[in-house]
Amino acid sequence: MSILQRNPVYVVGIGMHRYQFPTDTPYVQLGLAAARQALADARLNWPQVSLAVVGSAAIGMAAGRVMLRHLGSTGFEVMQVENASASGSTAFRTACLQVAAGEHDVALALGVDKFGDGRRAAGKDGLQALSPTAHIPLVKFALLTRRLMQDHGLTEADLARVAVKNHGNASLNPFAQFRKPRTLEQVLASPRIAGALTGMMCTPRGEGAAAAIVVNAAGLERLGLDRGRAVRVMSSVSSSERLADDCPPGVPPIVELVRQSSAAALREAGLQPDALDLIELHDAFSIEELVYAEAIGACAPGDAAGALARGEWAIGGRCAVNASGGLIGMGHPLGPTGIGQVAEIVRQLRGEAIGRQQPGARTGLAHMIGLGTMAVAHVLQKE
Amino acid sequence: MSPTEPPRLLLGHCQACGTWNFPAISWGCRSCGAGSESLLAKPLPGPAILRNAVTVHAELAPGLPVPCVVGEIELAPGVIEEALLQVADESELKLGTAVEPLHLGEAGGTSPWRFVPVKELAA
Repeated sequence: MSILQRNPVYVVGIGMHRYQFPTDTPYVQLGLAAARQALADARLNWPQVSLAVVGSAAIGMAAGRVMLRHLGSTGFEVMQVENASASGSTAFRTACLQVAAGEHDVALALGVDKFGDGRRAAGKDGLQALSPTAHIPLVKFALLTRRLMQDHGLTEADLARVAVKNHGNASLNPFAQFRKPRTLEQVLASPRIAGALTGMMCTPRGEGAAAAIVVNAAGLERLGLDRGRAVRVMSSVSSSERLADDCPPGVPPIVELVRQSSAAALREAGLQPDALDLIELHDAFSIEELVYAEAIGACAPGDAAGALARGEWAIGGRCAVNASGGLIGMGHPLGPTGIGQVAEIVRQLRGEAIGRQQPGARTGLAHMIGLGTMAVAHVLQKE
Repeated sequence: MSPTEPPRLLLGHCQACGTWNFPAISWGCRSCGAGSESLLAKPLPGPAILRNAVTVHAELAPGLPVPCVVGEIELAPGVIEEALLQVADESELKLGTAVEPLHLGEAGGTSPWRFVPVKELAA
């Protein structure tokens, strides 16, 4: 039995700073807006939080302390985690495991990032790649798109339908970077980036912040928090890609990674894929939603395009995939993204996602990918 | 190698487990983790095979002119690497066929290597 099954952990507060195109706003302002909102949502005061885990890929050294001292120098423990696109998810996982272990009763997970300051380790390994695109995820996923279009008969219209759904969902989300619904024709006619991927099938660059406050059972009890709005973190899983030789024949390693990590998260939670009412996943490029949602079990094998076209993944469908708008519509500022997924699922499970509520939602999966090779998955449930 | 001999593309063959690695000089075997001393530099064991390719239209990498064609090339069993293809158009390529490395030196800009389709031998 996992530690989260033995020692329950709950999300009791969420906060967001809207994702947006790059501005001159200091990251501190973005992060504090999300943190203060999460504290107010939980009805907690800052001195009651004893741990802060900050997820950021591009701010720099000690972003947490520099930012959070403006809430008060209460002696809180603070750390920063960097895990590419999964930085926020990893910060959330770290916070959950710390409170489950009893090291702290109340922890803040906060993702914040500004675009443009990130530095990549991939180019510093002292090895010469054959192509300057070797570490650019967009090219990797454009190649995956072609392969899957060829092997599984996916069409450009199938890819575009992901973007149409997610831009539509984002238009209903006040925290989203894009707020305009798009038609199939608009998505297909937007500038081609690589292979079959057009601009509207890709996530934008941006900035923002997202926060979640987690507590253990002792914290929930001691602080007299509202159990009716608490959402339980049922499981937390993190892993990375294996070699193609170790994957089933014909299955790309990234798809096998999603299958295994989501299956582990559901197994740890004691659930089957059909229990999921919501999935927030890493749709930086539209092909990803089609293959990841299928790998998670949101449709029968080979039926991803069909399930999407039939509206099964729309808000109101069998399982709403990226009700927030996903990375394509809501945006992907790196550090905040994984915690933004958690915030969306918590809002939905509480029944507070005004204008984009998945009816009767009780269970959700937040699944994030970092550097196209690492996965972090959390199952959340309203008890 | 003589001063006039063009550079050859080499792979690292792990003496501990037999796995092929790219690049030849690396920090360890990607499969068994044996140290770099276990990797023996060898030429490609057979023809490189083009497995996939796309045209890149947007400027994604500094110094890489677009449009350009990027492929996934199987250099040895299990070693699939992204590489630039020297073709005028993606339509010149046929997936599953042999391609060969061409060393352009400094003229290659961001990468000295390009791959070109292997010309079919005249009957």
